[in-house]
Amino acid sequence: MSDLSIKDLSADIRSAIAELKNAPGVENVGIVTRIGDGVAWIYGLRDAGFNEMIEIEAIGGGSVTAFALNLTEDEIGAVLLGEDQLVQAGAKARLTGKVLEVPVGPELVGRVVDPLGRPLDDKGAIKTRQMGLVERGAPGVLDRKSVHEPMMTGLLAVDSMVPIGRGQRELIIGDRQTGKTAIAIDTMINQFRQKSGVINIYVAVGQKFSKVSRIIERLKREGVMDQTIVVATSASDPASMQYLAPYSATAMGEYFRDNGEHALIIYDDLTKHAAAYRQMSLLLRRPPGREAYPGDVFYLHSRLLERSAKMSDDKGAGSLTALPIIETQAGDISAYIPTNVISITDGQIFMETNLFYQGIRPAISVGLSVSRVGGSAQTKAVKSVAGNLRLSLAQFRELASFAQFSTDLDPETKHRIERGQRLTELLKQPQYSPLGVWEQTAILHAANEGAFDHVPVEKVKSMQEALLKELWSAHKKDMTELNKGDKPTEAAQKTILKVAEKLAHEYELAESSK
Amino acid sequence: MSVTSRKDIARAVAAQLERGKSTQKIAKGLAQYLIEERRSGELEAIMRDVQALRHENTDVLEANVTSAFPLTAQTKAHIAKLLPAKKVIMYEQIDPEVLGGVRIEAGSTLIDATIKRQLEQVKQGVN
Repeated sequence: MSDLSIKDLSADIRSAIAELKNAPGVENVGIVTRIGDGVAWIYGLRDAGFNEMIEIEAIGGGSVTAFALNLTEDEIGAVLLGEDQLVQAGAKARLTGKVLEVPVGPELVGRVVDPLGRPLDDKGAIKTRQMGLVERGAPGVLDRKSVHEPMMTGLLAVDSMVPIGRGQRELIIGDRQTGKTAIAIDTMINQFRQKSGVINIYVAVGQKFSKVSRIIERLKREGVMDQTIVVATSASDPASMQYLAPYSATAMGEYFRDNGEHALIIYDDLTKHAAAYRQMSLLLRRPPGREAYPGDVFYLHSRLLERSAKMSDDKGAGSLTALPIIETQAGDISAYIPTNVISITDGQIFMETNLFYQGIRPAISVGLSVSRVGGSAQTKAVKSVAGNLRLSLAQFRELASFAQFSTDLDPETKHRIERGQRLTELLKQPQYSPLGVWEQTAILHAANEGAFDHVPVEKVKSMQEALLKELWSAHKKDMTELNKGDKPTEAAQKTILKVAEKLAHEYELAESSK
Repeated sequence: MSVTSRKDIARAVAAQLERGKSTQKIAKGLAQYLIEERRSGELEAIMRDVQALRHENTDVLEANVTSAFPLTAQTKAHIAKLLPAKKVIMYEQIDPEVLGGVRIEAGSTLIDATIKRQLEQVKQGVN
């Protein structure tokens, strides 16, 4: 700390003096009887409360913080938040009378922190004015309002078919390497591109730090980092830190929710979180249940996700939207943790390996993905054109598998298949290129009106690009108007269709002249 | 796991003490039991529990008092008054390392008003 200001120093001294004043208070002291695997068993401390912080004397001065999880008649099982090598059996343990808290507030935005709010980047100390409880109850019934504002992901497939609203919990589930994190990152980037003002919080639970740093690098390059908090734990951090990460990040998000702002939190991923909790529970000798998870593994996630909510107008109308991520094994969504989280959340986006390798990216399975509350939050413009998209795609898939066996098809079937192929093509979207409201509306409107029907499938993407380019350069005013999210006016619809048909005609000519 | 809990052992010992059984006999019995059950490592913890129970039942508190210099009778009386018990049995310890002030340990309560601890707290606050 080279840039230590006198003001900060005097504040520090003042708080140190305040601490000194109440120093000779009565303390409760216990003794560590056993230690290992990140768990300390402490004798004494009869007044310890559940989840209370305990300071344990470390070898060579200083202390290690732990929190009490098992309270029994004879001893306390506490989970260490630091290195267990620093603590010896026989060390003294003191009660602090506090439960876990983390710094919260706008000062954290743009920073990379650990689950206790300590900086992991090189931008110096974080001084916040407030602290937030890591474990905190969810807002009550009267404090909430139903989800009604859109949280645009910028992904055509998501915004049109599984729309997400502010305050919703939408699960992203799929096998490894199917683009789960990509959806989350694109959503974060879109918040910056659309100037939605939403604060992003990305929680890495037991992720490889190489992956986390790649994500941070990307967020910086896209300019999103200035409205993002990253809470990072790596696979080598103690299980207790991995367990805490989602809760403390939620505490940071709640600050924005309770102050009338909007925040988006991404838990990447809760499968590893459950595994970290399983490790802690087993080491605390709690009885194992199914897949060796403890009995309260459902509550572990339900109490976490319940804190994401849309607040009522009286409470400032803020929101906290959650995108938890779950990794499945070989597409098995009926495993223990996936079914738990599916039942907790308000819908899921299911990613399929097959689709991913067919080149359909984002590899969203239309049939298995749902959004239970997002419909009422969907942007009107997109809603007006996305009405039968799901149905068309479902029919297409059914017909496509059936049509493989027959040679001649009736024109109606043929038309549906052709339309389906083009829609599938349109829903493909490269990473880091979220689309705005007007872009999504224009594409879907043109497709619905059949503008793409006679364009060769492999040219659909290039025509889509040309269409958007043309609309933006020639009808910027209309498109800016459309981008506000209201249902497109008749004139706007006509404009889009006119441009689309003109382009389609050019593509057809080019094709026939070959 | 039908192990007698440490609390129960402590309760039994405290009850015997109160009934006025000779300490030697109690010690012998407890030692035998702990060795048989291979729990001799828990002795210190059991004694602390006994102490706590004794405080609860008979209002007698045993306290370890550490200071840098020998305490005057007046200070001792003052300390005894501070502690929440009718009768206080004090064990004095002189440790120049605490620099000044006193540290009172009674069961699992600790009142640390030594200069050493205060300096440690300042050090932690500054870091």
